[in-house]
Amino acid sequence: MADHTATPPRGPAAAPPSPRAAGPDAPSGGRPAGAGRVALLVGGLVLLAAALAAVSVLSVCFGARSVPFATVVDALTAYDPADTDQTVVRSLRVPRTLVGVLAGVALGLAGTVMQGVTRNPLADPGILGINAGAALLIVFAINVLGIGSLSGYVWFGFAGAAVATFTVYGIAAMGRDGATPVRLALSGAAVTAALNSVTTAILLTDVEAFDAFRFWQVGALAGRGMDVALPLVPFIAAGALLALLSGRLLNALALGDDIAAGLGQRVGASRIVAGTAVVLLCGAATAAAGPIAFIGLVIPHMARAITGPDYRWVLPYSALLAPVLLLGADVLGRIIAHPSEVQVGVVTAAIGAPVFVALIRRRRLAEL
Amino acid sequence: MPWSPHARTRPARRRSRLAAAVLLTGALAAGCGAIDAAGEAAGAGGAEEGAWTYQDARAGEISLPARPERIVAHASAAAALIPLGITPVGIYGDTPMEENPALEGYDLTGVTSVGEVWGEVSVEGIAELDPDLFVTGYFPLEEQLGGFEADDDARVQAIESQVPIASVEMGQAASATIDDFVALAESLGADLDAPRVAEARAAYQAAVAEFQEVVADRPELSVVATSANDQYYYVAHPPAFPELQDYQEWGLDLVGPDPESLEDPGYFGYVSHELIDEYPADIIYYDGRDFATSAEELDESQPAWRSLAAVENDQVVTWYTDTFTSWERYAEYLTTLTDALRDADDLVP
Amino acid sequence: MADVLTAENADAARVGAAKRALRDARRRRSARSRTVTLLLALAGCGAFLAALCVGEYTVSVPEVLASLAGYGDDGTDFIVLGLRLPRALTGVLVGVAFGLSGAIFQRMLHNPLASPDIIGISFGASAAAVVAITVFGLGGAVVSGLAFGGALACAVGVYLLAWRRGVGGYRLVLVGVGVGALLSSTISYLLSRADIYAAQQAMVWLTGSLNGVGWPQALVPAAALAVLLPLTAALARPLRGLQFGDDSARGLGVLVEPSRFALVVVGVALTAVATAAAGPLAFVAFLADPIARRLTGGTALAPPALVGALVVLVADFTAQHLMGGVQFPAGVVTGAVGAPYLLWLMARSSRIGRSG
Repeated sequence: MADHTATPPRGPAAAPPSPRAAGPDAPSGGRPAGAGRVALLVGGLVLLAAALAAVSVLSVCFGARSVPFATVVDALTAYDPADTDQTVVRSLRVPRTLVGVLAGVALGLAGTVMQGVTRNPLADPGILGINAGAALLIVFAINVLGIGSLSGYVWFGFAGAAVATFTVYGIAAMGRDGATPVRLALSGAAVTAALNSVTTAILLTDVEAFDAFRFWQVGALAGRGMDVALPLVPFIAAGALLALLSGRLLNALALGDDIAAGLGQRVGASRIVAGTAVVLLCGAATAAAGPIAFIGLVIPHMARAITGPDYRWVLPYSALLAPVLLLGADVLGRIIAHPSEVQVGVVTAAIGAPVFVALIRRRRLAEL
Repeated sequence: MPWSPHARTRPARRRSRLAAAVLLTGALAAGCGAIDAAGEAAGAGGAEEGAWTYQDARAGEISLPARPERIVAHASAAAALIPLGITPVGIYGDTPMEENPALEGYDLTGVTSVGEVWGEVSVEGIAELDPDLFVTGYFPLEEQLGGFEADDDARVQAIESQVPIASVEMGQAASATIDDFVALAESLGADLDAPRVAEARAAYQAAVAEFQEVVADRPELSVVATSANDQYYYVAHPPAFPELQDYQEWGLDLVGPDPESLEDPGYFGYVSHELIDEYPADIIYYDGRDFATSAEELDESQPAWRSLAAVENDQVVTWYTDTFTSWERYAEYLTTLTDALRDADDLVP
Repeated sequence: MADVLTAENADAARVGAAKRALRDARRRRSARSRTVTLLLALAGCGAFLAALCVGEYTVSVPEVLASLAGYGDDGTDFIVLGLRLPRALTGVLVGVAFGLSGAIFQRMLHNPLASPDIIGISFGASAAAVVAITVFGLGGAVVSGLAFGGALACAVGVYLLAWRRGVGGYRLVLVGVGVGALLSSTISYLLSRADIYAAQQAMVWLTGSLNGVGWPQALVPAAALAVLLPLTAALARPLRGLQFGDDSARGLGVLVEPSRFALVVVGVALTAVATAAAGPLAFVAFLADPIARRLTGGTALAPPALVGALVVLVADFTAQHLMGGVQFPAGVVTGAVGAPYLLWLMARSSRIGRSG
């Protein structure tokens, strides 16, 4: 009995490769990826892109304040700063819509990459220490440096996310086996625990930092101006590119490190590429919109439910599904609590949790 | 290390004094006979002041054999007592004592801090100070003592087993709370005729009279008290704020939020920044607490805020709530608002 | 023939050697496990004694022992027996409860992230407490009671949602994570809507603190653990079976679903009791078992319980006395005490990658 303890069985966190994925080039199992299926999947992507455009328009048109459609068009084409309606559209709704799209794409892709790399279906930005790292440096910026505005501390959030993720990865990679999924998960949760301690200590003695923090932590798009949105564009674009190109890598990693290595993948290098994508995407999105964990967690499962396990499809689907859900949730949050608003992080959780649970109950989850 | 030689250098006297305090309070709790005996003893001893009694906001009348000298107080109670000449030996609050805006500018030398994080009051630290009285605010609606979750809190019980707790009702109009603190301070031996105190009282009375006069002169002016952060614009519900209760009482037209948009406990109405112009007023009394987004930051980041008539005409006055527990502070802030009212343009029809 | 016999003999010899090697390894490991357990227990006693000695008044060890034996003077008795003893005792009880519940869930579900503070259960307690504090303005024992109820309600909800002709361990974890994420965003929402001072009060509760624990507060977890510890001990064998997967467990004669149900009930009860007594105390449940297993290499349940108690005691001591004069709630430090140690263990050893 006790003999087993040195090598406990591999649980879901280190599950055997899914029998449905036979190899990186034939990921949909015995079923050949026929032309009809490809056309169907491409059609789905086009549909999602249209949905994203539609939700973006809704996001600019609807809010706590009712603004006629014609005024919205005027605000975008012939802006009159004296008109408060137009000011609201230009200065509040357009930037938050942009942040919503960027954060959505980033979180959807990052969640997928992260679940693939760690082969852990529970992986989300929180697990690699990203939220904790961003939170600590944001609180530090407010408490020690006295930076009070979001556009000021967004960079600290970004830097904190990056440092935390590299620390998590570095510690996980130290052992002889390298950064295995279980080691990544453990070191991520442990780094989170350590960082949260410091954050909490600051928050408990500094009301100002606590007040800013509680509004950041809930996850929101409101109040994000162009000064927050635009600087993030290059980072998210670079991260998205890396992520979308990593489909083949992830397919190989899904088979387990040994098989992936046997297929000629450089496992360690693949992880670093994927990890860089995650840092760029999640760091930027989390710094700007706060920790909206549910998108990163649920979207990959939803995407896999549509496409099957081939990451070359899961990734683009995640990239479009996530902003549709995120922006849709934000619009809903603006309408249901009129004249106030419910933050997007709350609405995504309220929508995401039942969907997630239903998904788990309905299908035999592809154990990653 | 507890077993280091230093442990022995602690004076044993302190501990025995504490033991005496414990025994005494134990005796007080044990029954009336003990109280009578103690009271007689104090009287027979010919103490100058005799027994001390106080009408407590929470627990009814408190009687002690002698007037308390060593006081431990919550930061906001300390902010009320210090300008009256009663300086506590210990202060607890939810920020480090030196950083507490309510205590800014007061001499705190010789005062020990016995709690700097909400809820983390050091019961042992209080015992070490060997106080005669513990002073804090009492919030009747929440049934909470200032700085504690509830009055069945184990901390409260542990403190109460060592030292009597005197509380002053908070949540009523600020002027009434100040009166209560003044009464408490007087019973504790404060000299209300001391020059500094008399001056503060006169300044306060003049400020109130002037405020009422200006408000009566300019009945067309309205004021809205607000706060904001990145996500929300907040409109203050006047009855929830002690100083706003006073202003309304003194005749000011204060704009409040739609009562339906209020949530418990109803301090502020939450408004989307998109609807920032739904509460028009001639003067915006804007939150000056550190953690609210400052008016300058709003000027930079919120075009909708800039378009408000009061902001365009520079009729924004800083509002420091939570600091209205002394005459001198109250007079200072009230005069700023009075001046703004006197000079304001009537912007809202 | 002779060749064959020799070969068989050689095989037998090899098998015999392998068995001996295994037995030796097992013996070494169990000896190591015993040593580590003993050391943990000693360290726990040391931390407990330090908690009784150190404070605004330093009380010497003999004075503490005299007080405990009933020969102390009144002042010392008030400090040691009235203030410090219930606090330290609650620290031990809460640490043991968190350590055990973490070990139960992580082992049963084969996932280090399945501890009750990462999957939903702690969030159920926290959400109930935050509602009580920020929406209804409650405090004290009422909040503890509601937190207890919240943890139970949340666990029942997760269990029912995960039920589909039995509760697959994997499904239970995922449902737990989903429900946990929903509850944690509810908590964030309530914190952002509350008055700043109520939010601060909730934040202290969410951090977890032993300050303000007196005898009445210490007796509840003591009574609960008196029931739950024997139950946990009785379930140790089925838990060891489930650790190797449902099929292996069945092979070992373990009734999989009933055992899992019983383990969930005990694990949830441990979490709920501990959370009600001291708040969620971040990450104690998550950290205890991974640390214990790296130290002992075994599957006994005493080490994670002792690690949990030690982490809480050391954290509370640090938070009270070693934070530059400011007293913090213990939960501020639990993560900082345990996590770096786990990270150090991880960086040092390479075996752990495979252990769950």
